[in-house]
Amino acid sequence: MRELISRIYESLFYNSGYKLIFDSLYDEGGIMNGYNTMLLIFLITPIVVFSYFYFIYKKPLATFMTWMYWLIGNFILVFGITYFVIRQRLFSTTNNELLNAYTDVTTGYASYANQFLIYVSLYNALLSLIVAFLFSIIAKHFSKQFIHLPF
Amino acid sequence: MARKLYIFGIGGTGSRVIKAFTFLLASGVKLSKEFDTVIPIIIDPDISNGDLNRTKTILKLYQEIQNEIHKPYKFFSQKLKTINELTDNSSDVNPEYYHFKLEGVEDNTFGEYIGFNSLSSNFKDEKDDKSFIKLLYSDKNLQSKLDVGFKGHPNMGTVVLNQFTTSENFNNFANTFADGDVIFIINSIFGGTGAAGYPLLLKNLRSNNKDIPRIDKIRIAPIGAFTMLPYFALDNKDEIDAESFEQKTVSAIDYYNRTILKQNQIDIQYFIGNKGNTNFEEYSVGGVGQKNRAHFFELVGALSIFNFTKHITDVIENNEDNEYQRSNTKVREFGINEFNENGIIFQNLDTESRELFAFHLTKLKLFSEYLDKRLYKALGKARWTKGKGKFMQLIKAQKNKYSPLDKEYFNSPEYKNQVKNFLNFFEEWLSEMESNNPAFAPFNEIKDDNAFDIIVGNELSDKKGFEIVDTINNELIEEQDIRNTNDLKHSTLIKLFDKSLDRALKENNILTKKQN
Repeated sequence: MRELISRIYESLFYNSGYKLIFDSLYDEGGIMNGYNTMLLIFLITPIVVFSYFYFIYKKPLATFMTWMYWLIGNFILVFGITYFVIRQRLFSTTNNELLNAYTDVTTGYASYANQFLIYVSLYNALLSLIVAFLFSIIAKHFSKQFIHLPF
Repeated sequence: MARKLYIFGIGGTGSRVIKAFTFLLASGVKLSKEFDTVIPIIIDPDISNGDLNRTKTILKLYQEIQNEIHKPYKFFSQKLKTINELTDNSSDVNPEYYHFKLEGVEDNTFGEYIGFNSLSSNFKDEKDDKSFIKLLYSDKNLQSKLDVGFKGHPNMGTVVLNQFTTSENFNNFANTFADGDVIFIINSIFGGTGAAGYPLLLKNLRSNNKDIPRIDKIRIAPIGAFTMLPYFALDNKDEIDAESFEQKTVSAIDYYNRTILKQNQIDIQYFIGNKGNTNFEEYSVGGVGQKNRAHFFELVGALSIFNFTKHITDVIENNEDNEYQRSNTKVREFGINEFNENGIIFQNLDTESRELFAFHLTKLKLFSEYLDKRLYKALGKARWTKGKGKFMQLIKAQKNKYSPLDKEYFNSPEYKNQVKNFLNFFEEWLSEMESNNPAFAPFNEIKDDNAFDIIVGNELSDKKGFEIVDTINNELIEEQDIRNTNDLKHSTLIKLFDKSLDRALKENNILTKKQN
């Protein structure tokens, strides 16, 4: 399972020149390693956000654009959560070799890690859009207020 | 036992009280459970009378709307029928059937009606009938055209209205009268039609005239009456002299006392008036021009009908053979707890009156305000207004998902000509009462975002608007009970708002019993 989840990210981002970063994400934290954490972020956040939208939010004249704004809000939220959680993971690593690599500017690890954080957060946010959309298609049928959204 | 309530509204006051009564029924105020049908009957010779025609239109609209609601809750729940519908068992909604017309009044003067010119003037043989008639009626009376009523002359009304009880209309009324049915009469004491018509009608109802079908049932039936004492003056003086209103009242009251009240001919007599009032109406000798502003006292007249049906068992006593007998006449007047110069509000009323109608009237007012101020925002956006789009009509989709209350419905002639039209009359009625004296002004001007501040003296500490109604509408639109329309056009709209406004007011503790 862990292998499967890591492929979601490594198939796009793996760079053997910065192997330590990817090993850290895979190995550290046990079942809640970096990759599993990112998966949970892009799965749970849109479910929570859109559960609130469909079952608690009470703006009866909400339109398709309202739903879109919530989708964008979800995107920003997932981006932000992913960025800060994974940033914490990477730069507070227990892997001394990785810590030393960050310190040594010539390795380029610190610069790569910062760039990687932005791209992987964007990627996670995009994945969350798919989840949000699929969840919306199901949840709307149980919603009293927004059975007509997104369509 | 299912009872029928026959309401005879005599003259302009009769029409206006029936109008007020109709609005209260539309708002959901109900008669006691045993009354399943109300039959309003307007007696007025003035067929072009503005008040009469307005009331007939409102009654027609009420019926048309009610006929398009499947099992109504509170709004429009009381059945209204005409005598013709009972007699012919038809569902034909014709406003003319509410109006009992008189024969021979349209093109005749009073003199022509009584055949004055054909009377003898032979004083030698003591057959000088003409001179005798001239003792009772002036030349002006004799030349007076009858098509606009009796112009405040009950002595003329008494003669002309006498034909009523031998008319086909009255026969039809009598033929439909059943055990347990009750009668209520509305009149003014200072006019011509009402002042004459009430004692005449009552005399016939309590008679032993075997020519009247089912007279044995009718003569012992409970009968209530609401009599309006003078409550307005006129801004001019000609054929009708408003200064004579109080004088006429004194004479008429004396007559009523002797012949009606002391004889226990009526079971409960309601009175209301406003002595020394300076409330002026535009002068009009009947016809289209007689379209008085609605008055709070007419609303009180409508309340008296509910009071009468509520206390129906008070007027009936069972004797040993278990046949009911009438008790002594009770006389009731209306009072308020305090007078407010800015206009009477709900808080000024006694508890019983307030509990009877304040909540319901507020609901209907909010319904009207919503359609006026909020619908255009919600239409096409709120879930409860989302109908099937053209694309979805091509494919099979969940039936419950789509609301029948879409743009097509709100643009339909049925909605505009029936529901919106009825509510326009309702708003006009409220507005007229507010501008009258004493004013009845229980409602604030509201906007979309503070709709629930609608009741004067009962404004909420935090602003709550029509958004609440849309939220509740969205929740309720799926309910089978509301969706089950039986193909009746207005069923979903009326029942949806009936329930949602009920809930909105209760959840915000507006006019709930706690507040009373």
